[in-house]
Amino acid sequence: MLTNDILLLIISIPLIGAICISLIDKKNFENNVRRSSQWTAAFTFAMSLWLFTADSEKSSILASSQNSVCLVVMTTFLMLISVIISQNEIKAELKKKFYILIFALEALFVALFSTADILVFYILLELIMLLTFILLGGFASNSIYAVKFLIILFVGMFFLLCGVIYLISVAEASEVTTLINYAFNFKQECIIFSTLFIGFAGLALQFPLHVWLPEAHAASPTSVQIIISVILPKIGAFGLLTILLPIADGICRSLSTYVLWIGALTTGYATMAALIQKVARHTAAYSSIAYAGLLVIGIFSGGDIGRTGAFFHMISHSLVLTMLLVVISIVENRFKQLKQQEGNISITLQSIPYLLNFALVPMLSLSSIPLLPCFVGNFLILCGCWKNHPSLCFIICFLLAAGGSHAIRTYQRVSQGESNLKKIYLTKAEWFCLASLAVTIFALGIYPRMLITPTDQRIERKQ
Amino acid sequence: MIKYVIMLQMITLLANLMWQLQAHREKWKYASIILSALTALAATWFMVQQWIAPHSEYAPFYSFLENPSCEFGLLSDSLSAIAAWVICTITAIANYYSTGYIRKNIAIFLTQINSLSLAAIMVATANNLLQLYAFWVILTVISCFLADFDKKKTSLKTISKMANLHLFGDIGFILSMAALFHMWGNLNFDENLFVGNDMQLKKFEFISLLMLLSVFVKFAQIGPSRWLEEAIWSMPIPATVLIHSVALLPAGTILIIRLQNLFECSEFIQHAIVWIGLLSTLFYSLRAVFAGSLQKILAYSTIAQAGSMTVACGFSAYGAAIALFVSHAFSKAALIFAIGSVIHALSGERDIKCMGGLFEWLPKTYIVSILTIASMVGVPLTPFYYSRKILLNEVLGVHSSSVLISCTIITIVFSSILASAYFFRIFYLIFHGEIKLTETGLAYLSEQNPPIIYSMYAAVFFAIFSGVFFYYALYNDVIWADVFVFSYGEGPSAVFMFTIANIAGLCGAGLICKSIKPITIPFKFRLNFKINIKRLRSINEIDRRFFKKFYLFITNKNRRNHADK
Repeated sequence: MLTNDILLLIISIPLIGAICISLIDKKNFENNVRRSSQWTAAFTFAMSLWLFTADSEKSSILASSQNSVCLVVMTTFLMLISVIISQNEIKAELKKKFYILIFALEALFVALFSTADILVFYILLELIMLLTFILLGGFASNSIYAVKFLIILFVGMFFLLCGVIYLISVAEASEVTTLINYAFNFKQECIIFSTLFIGFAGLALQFPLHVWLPEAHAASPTSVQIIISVILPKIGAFGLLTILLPIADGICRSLSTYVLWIGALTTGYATMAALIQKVARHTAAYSSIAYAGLLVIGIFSGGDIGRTGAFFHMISHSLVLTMLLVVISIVENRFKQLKQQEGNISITLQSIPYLLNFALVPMLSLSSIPLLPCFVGNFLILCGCWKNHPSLCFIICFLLAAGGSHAIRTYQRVSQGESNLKKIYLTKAEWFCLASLAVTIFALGIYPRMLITPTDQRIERKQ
Repeated sequence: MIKYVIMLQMITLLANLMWQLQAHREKWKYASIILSALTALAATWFMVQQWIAPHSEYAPFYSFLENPSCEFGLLSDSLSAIAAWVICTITAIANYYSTGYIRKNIAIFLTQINSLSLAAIMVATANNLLQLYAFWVILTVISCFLADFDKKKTSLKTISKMANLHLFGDIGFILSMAALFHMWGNLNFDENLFVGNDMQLKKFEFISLLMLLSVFVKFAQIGPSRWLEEAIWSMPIPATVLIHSVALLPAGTILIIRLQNLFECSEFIQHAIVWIGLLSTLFYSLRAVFAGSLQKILAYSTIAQAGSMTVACGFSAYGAAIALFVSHAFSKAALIFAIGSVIHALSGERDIKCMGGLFEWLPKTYIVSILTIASMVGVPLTPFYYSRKILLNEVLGVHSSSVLISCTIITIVFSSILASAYFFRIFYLIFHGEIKLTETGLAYLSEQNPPIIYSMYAAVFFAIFSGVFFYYALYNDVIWADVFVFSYGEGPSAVFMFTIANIAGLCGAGLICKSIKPITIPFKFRLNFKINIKRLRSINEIDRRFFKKFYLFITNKNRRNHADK
């Protein structure tokens, strides 16, 4: 009962905040917008922390497993970060629209992660797509990326809609728990798998459907980047993990080899592409794609360990990538004239004290150094994969090592040299973002059971 | 008990971090020195406790993962006691040394070396593979950052080589962890024993080969060894000491000893380990004799010693491996400290072709390095003598294929001849022979830096006397009687053999040195004059006459340069 109320609060607070922001008039405009948006995001995050500590109860309209609670906390946290970091990036006249969109999206995300009905899931996802489309069209430097995004993802959404309609018509119910217990025959499972997989895998950036991301990523402001390359792929992976896998269990098991190779192809392609990029944001986008491939491998590796690893990755990699994006955005904000060239970035980084130390955290995490969170996910996925697909493990390991050595080398190259520029210190807001992210990342890496125990409970409950 | 050692090391690290925040306060250096000395004392006490009453004790700290069930905890037994003792002692000496050696960013440097030794202790006290792997990789990362300490452009290549080799080598480690988890169900060292049929044996052999790939990258054995020789000069001397004697060798030795259940299950793997060790011992000893630079000689000698440790592990002579590791750690530390003193006196000149005849100017370093080299080449009553003797006895005791044993004995004796050859060669080239510096260069020479001198003395004390200590600790045997008895069992007397080896090595070194033509190279001033003057001024006992001469020389030259511009 308590959980339900808190969830409703978490969904309603951003909406109320959005309404409040829409009512702000021109007097003392910027300050008011800044304050109201930050307080709304912070309050939502505090509420979600309360949800995390409260005991979960099963029977509810918004069925919340511990699994989705973790994702809700992660989403609200990333939204807080993106609201704080976007204050300087957005022009003053667009700020109102931007924050209304952002808070509407936050409410939708939370509702999506906590829903138990597949039809509601689909509708929320469609709304999220629309709002993201508007965000990309309005705030990216070129609206062509929004069109690309629309074309590619709506193909996937069409398949998803077909699948959802088929599921409801066959089972005559739309709740996920009922669908899981319904016995589908082989033919029906085939249809369900082919439709839902294309929908979710397209969202989770699998190989042919990832093409829209890198350029759109480079052209948009940081908070939009956090939405399109951090949270959207995780929704796809969440759908694969909690909807497709339990419903079409048999066919997933028999087709797992092909799916795993799709994941490996995505990871390999994205890692190799990330090695040759010259723009830092492109590299970050390709890293996101590579880890989305790893997520799919973990989910379909056919064991609790792999699934746990994939779930752990969903959260840890989001935090790590967000931190990387924040660092990049700070550098670019400071020196817009030295845009996106590594040689210049080194001088820039030297002139901002403490930023290099913070940049170390995501770099080392992405190279899967132990006691940082990405290592735990990688190790669990490898453990899950080894039993049935040892050859795949070799490939994954090779790719991870290649990416890791690239990350370390990039960091060393960037940290070389000395700058004669005037020293510009980090502002309070930036300190807050970087320090909170770093603390969370270290905590997750050193004590991963914080997240892993709830997932195990979830798996037990399902069986 | 081990937890106090680790807590003290963490407090040292905290003091260094505080110093980083208050960079202008020089007084933090005393905190660092005293705390690291306390850590070393605690580790010594821990070792003595284990020596008096050996016991194994495991204290879990917290549970890291549940499904591949892994706990982070501290395992205290005799192996971790000895490793912690060596690591903490050398770190304490290096802390003191670097307060005299490093001039710029010393707080950052001390943080890095203390975290390196903390990671090394955690490797030694790991009870499961995951904890060992975690700190194993952290060792690599910290050594990458130490190699980048001076922020030279040339160090980038070294770092990329190190990072690549280690990350790709660790593929083997992580994959074999995944495989062992499926075979055993957990990752602990103690509980798991090999039981199974031939199919299982094949799997175990495959896993062992994967693991050995990673071990031999860390150990810098015959294939992937190039990173070590490049890493030496790209980092400051105290860091080099730690990499050679604290980070690199114990990690590999400890992993092989902890995983003995895995490696002992098949004879093929044991023989592979022995052959790789023998090949790298022989090959790198030969390369060290003819190598042209100081850096290469040091690196190759370390690789050769690591090879002999590998041989000992392959024969399941773990006592001998530990003895070799301890003696190598202390002797190599003292040797590199002495060379660092020479380099410091030469204001950072690292080319061996510029050294020569420095005996008169650096008498303290001369005495220290002659004692160290005596210990390195295995003069009786020094640690290397005992450890090689233990190794020979263990090898003779094994009843296995006779080709392998005879090859091993020949290699051990021959490599000790070569060792004395290349160490005496370094010695001649630095301290004797023709003076290659110009007069101005010679006038700069001084060894008046107290931290460097005293830490060198401390290191050489351990390099000479640790042998007796651990020999007694490991074998509870009477030492003095054993030394002068002419024959031991079936084999020839160790005294006789190693004395012959030393004399042969001396002759060889003399011959090689004679064949090299003396080259006169003017002294290069790599650092600017101001720093030198500052350093010289701070020393009270400096020879007035030389000082005056220099000062005039430098000021004149500076003025002239200024006028030209």
